[in-house]
Amino acid sequence: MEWWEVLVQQTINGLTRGAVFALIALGYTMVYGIIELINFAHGDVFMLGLFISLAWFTLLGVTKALTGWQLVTLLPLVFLLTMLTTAALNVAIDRVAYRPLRGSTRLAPLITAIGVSFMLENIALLWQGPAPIAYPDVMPSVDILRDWLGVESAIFITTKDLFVVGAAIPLMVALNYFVTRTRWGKAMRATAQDRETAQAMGINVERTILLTFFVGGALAGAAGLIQGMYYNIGMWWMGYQAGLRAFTAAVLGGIGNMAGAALGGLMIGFLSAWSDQYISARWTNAIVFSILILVLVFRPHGLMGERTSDKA
Amino acid sequence: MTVDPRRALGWAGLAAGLLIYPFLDRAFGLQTVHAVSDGMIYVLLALGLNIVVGYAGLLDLGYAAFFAIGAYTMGLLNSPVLGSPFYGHAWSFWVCIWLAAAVSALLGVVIGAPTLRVRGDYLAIITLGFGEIIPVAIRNLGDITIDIGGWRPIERLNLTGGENGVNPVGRPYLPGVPFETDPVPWYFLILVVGLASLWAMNRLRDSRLGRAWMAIREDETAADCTGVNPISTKLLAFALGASFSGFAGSIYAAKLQAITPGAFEFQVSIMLLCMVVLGGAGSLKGVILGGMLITLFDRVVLTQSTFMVRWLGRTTGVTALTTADLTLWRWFFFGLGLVLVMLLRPEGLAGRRVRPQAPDAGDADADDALVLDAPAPAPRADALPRWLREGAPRNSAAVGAAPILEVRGLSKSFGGVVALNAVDLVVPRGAVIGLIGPNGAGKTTFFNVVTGLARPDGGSITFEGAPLARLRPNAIVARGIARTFQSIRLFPQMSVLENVLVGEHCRLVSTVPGAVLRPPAVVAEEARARARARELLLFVGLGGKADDLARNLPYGDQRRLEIARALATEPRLLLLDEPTAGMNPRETGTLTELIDLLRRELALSVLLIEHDMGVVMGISDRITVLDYGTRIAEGTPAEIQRHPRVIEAYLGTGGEQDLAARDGAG
Amino acid sequence: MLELTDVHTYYGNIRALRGIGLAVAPGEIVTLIGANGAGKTTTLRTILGTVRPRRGSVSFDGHRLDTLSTDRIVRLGIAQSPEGRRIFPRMTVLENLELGAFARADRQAIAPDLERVFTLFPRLRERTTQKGGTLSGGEQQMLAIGRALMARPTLLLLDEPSMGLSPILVETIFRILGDINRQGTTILLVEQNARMALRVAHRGYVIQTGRIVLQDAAAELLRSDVVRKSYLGEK
Repeated sequence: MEWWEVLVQQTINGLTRGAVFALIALGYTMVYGIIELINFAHGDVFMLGLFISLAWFTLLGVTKALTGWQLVTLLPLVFLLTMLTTAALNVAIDRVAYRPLRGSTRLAPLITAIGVSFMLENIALLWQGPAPIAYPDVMPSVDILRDWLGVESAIFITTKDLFVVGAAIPLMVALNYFVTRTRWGKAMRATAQDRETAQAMGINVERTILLTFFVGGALAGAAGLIQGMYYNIGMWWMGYQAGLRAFTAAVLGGIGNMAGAALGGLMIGFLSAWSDQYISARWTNAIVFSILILVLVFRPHGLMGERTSDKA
Repeated sequence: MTVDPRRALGWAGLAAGLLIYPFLDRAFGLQTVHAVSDGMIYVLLALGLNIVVGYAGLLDLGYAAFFAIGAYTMGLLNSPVLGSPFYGHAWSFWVCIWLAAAVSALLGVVIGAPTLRVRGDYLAIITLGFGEIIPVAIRNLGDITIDIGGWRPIERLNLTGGENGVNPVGRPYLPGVPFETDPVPWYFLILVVGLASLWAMNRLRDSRLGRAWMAIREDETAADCTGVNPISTKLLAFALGASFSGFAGSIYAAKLQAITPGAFEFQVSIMLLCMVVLGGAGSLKGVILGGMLITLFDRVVLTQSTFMVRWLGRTTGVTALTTADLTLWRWFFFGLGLVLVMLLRPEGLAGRRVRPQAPDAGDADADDALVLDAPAPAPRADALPRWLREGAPRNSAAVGAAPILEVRGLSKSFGGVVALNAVDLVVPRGAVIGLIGPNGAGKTTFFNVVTGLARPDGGSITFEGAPLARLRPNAIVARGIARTFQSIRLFPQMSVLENVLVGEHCRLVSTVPGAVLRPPAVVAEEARARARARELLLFVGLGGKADDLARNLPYGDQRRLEIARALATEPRLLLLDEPTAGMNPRETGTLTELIDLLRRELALSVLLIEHDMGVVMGISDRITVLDYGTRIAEGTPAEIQRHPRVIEAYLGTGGEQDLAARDGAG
Repeated sequence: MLELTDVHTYYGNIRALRGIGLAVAPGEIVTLIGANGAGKTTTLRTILGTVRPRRGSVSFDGHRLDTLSTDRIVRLGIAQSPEGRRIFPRMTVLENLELGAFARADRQAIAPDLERVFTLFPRLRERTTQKGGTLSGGEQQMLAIGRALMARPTLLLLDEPSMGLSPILVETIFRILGDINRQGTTILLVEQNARMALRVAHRGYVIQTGRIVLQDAAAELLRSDVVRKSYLGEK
């Protein structure tokens, strides 16, 4: 491979990784924006999303690559079912573990979030067993450059890459539309900016928070499904590492800022892919976090975060 | 001080229990000493983390990094693997634990350094980042080869032992004590270190430094404006917290004889955080309780419960139970426990209740009457603390000399809003200057700029002849300017006395060794500080409430406490932002007398924002009127009352046309 | 229309209201004047359910408000322009206005109301796509009032609309308040600028340390010695 082919290949890898990080990061950032909670359980909702989507596929009898009409009917159906399940799960988590602590200290919900994270991981461990689970290769994998376009190249782009980007980007566009254009999306932004005034506009704040957890959970579920279909493997402990990366992405972008989360996710995707290639996979985590720290030292509110004024 | 015999008995019992326990364990063959000792190491770590999270209120998600540094410092210095010169000497261990603590503290400062700019949860993520970087670095520094185009300056250097860790680690040596074969000496070693740490922390908590941490936790801005330097205070918390885990880590390494990078992952940081919060952040008792509970649950309850459930299954004949393995459920129950404890006691097991208890209606009535009828104590000149008087400018020659504060052309805007527009203001020494104007005219912004909370866009501020430009609020307090806030900003979870003591912070000098060892000079300083604080409280009429929590004071008392806290910084210029807001006429009268007394007796200069015209006109020597960020008038009270622009902007417009307009339209 | 009886409200242990009683009749402008910290804003917050009274009752058009959540109270037809304006800083002027109409059932009537707000405050029309946080103080105040009007409230609560505004702007705002009132909106006005408030209002209450100490027709209050001395700055 030529050096530029390696770069392009790693950039594509970064893009697919980053797309998944971005979807998870959006859920982190939305919840943080509205109740200022670092939702440690969010990565595990993503992990469960992978297993739940697997369960739906199994229930629908899908074990091998989908073809033709199945691809356009079953796949969206599983997307929908998975997203609904994880959304409901996320709402339930809020109701049980966070909502009773609203108006309490900052640390208390943080600890319950950690507690919920442990519980979810344990549930996944008991449900799926300790070993990595093979995720059926339901997405047909076609080498686009060679088989479709007839281009001879060392760069390897498959329909799977296309699928990841093709699923993640519409989801983010849809989220953006929801948040900026719809009534409830505006209610969410208003609540995040000034809860009391939002209430005075007639917005039911608790319902808005519930909606936020719902949307965040749905995105995490979609990310889990995409991850499973792309890498064909699932582990009960994967939520922790993915959650950490996604949270880092959210902070890098400026926590609470949705465009920032998407940008941060993609950046972490690129950075980790490049670091794997050019430095060493062993150092990737350290490099990602070093860059995060550097960014925060020079931009204390992240890349796109806004300064919160400290009023006397 | 009398000792409650029941309490004394309890302590004696606890001490006896701790002493006898390892021997009982041996007698019954329980073999739990190792587990308990490990648990105690974690408690020691949690205590160190408590300084950062509980006292200073900084969320640290990467505390295990310090633990790792402590352990690896010990490992590297006291192991043959890397050819350390320290290995094999009888005294090595005892030297290395101090080195480990010092290295950890250094790292604490490095990690704390970004706090110079980063606040709140962004800081938490930085600690998390370090917590991730350190184990990765340890893993990968076991085999370093640097290859620059074939030139290899470093080849296969083993710095950390890599994935295999460091093994063996030299053990402590004491004549006649079998550290090699017996867990009991370890138990006592850790117990002694733990108790010594506890003793030191307890002393730190009750020192000038402990109060500064808590003030930062309660309200960083108010602490800054009370003379506490937030940056050095936070760095100190990081460094000290880290040094305790340096001790813990080094002992852990020596005890285990082997250290691997896996022992210092994020999960360890999280577990430690859970110990601190579960028990009640900020409470030493709570942290010990939380640490012990989590360790016991982890090490004992879960393994024993599997045993019990299987036994139950065998005796009842339920086969499902005989094969049950509850260790598989370990994290589930652990998580559930965390959730349940937090839901039931959000402030932690030993934390102070935060939620106000709603008194019933009758109760409210009672203290209603109490407050209304209690005569607001009139300030008396003879109650004025003598030390305040001594600090005041001695002769009246100083009064009337060069102005104490001179502000020229001060400008400040926020976004599209111009808050201050080339404002001039002069405070002569010993004068009371009123600053009035409609709400939002820029008065509070003026205070914020003078006290360093906001950076001016233009103009100069000169205090006692020296410019204040770019000084941090705490440095300005040290120069001699104190302030109060429009919406009272006390340290709500600290006692009334502690609030005043924080005010004295910048006039006290004790350091960490002083706070822990308490040499006579420090004891004397602390005693004098407390005596002064009590005198001040007596002077403002809060003498009987020194030990109440500030948040429990009624409104008027909170206002006066804030003034007492400001006076404790020994200011020469006092900025009061609407001190009589929300007070009834009698309370207002008392406060007016108080200000007048301060000016008369101490020659204290006062800059006063006030809406109550009776107060402003009665007490001010001169008045400056702001409107829309611009100074529209300056003069004596009498001049201001006649000033046409003031009447127009503040006291109401030429209303006749207005009435006419309304009647005409209506 | 609105009635508060013996309302006691606390913040923690601090008594902010100590038995407030006041009433607003349909079509009136009633003003509540008093010093900073006297309890004016708390009274509005209690009406809107942002804080709960510990004792006493708040009723509006036959509904008890003191047990309802804020969003339900707003749906009954009460809107507020809060102290300090509280514009959503990262939303556009148009979005801020639309949020004002959030609780309304009659969505098709929103467009004419938007037009009405733009007619009252032409400045806002020029700035529809600008972010709220970048407006000047006066524009923000107009937006806050406009946003409250978008709810088409039967009762409008205004908290210090003159705060931080130049005299000319204050004049304009108060003239518009008169117009709004004549168009049929009842107004409860909390003001520090007592003279302005009493000129535009029909009746007034004077609040001091959480209690109503004086109530009368606005013209009478303007003439009263107590008011002239404590709130108008006359000797």
